[in-house]
Amino acid sequence: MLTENLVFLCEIDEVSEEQGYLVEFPNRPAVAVFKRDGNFYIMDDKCSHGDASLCEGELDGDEIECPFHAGAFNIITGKPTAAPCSVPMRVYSNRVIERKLYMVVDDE
Amino acid sequence: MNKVYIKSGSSFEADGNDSIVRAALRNGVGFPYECSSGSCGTCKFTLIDGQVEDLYPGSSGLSERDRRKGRKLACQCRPLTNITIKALESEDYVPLYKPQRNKAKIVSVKNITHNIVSLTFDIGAPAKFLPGQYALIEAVQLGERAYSMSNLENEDKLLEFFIKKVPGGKISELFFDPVKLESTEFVVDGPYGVAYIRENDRSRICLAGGSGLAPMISIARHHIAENSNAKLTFIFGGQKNKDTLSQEEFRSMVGDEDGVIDYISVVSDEMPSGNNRKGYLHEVLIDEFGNDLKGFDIYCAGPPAMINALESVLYSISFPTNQLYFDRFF
Repeated sequence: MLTENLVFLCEIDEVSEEQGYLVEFPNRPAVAVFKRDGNFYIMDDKCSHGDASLCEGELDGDEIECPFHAGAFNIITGKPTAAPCSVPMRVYSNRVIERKLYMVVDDE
Repeated sequence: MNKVYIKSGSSFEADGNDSIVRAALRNGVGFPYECSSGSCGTCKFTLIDGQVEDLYPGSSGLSERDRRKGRKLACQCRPLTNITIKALESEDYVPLYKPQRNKAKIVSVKNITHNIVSLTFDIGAPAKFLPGQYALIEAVQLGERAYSMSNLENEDKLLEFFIKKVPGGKISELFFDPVKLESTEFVVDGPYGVAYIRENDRSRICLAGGSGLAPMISIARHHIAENSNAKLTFIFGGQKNKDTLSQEEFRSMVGDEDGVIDYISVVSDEMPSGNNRKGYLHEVLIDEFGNDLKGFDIYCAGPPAMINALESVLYSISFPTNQLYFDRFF
């Protein structure tokens, strides 16, 4: 059986549905964790358009709006949904194991 | 004159003809913007109080949610009264040279490639701008388009632009018609744009597609003029061989007699001839630099599809967005 590379992010109780939860790493780009209807969605935190943290943006339904220029992305697919953002965000699958949230990475 | 108040920020006066963005920049206020044409979505704002005239309500720069939230584009709105708005000012957009409107007349026309001409305007005032910036050329009673300067700032009051013939393009065709050109009045408003050259120790890469050549030529001319120790690689792409410049043509255009700049020309849609390479600009960029790219500043100008492809490939290798400079044109 293939084993997945999992990276621990946080306890699931730490994430609220109101805003993104930032997880930083020493050796890889920070990610934003979003929660909607009890499901978790993970993408890189730094906006593909500029130097802004999506965790500081406003969650609106399935979309996260960047605090810089009000561009937006779909939190499930990472696709841009409002200008000036045009490059899809990198998104990650996740696993919940014993109330801990992990993301699946294809490196390491 | 109406006054614009940015909530918890600057306030400035707006001339009746000016959009909020132009009025802000004329007053030295760092209002976020990029394209000045209602498409990039960088200049969104929320009107809190007062009235504006929206020149382009259906603009592609606003999403459905933006409209639901009452957002508008500051480059497409003129204040009709004193207004109070919510917007995020930033130092990054404070202009070094405040844009000015000047009547302009054409003093020379030259062919660059089979479908690009160089036009030089006398604007009657010192030509102050940074390499990479653009101006809005208004053909009076016809309309206005954004074009980047290809020369360097000068006291001779001259701005040079490269204009690509767009079949059916009302403004671009004008520049290829000597009779109409003669009888048209022009107003040039500038400089604008944030994709101008940054002075630092990093080596530079310029990527130009089609009429995106002009601002990149300006950067290359600056690089030669400042006698920089930094390296500059210039990659120019076209669809066909006839769209490109030879190395000799490029060097003569930017005044690079000693061959300081590495010049690469690329064609995407036919078998390359001469020194041309086959492919797209972003592919050649990755082939040429691979993982070393992160040490460079990248400047680029070209059609939206080229910019999008480039942005995507740079995002995939985690290239720092603050070392990438471009203005989106549509």
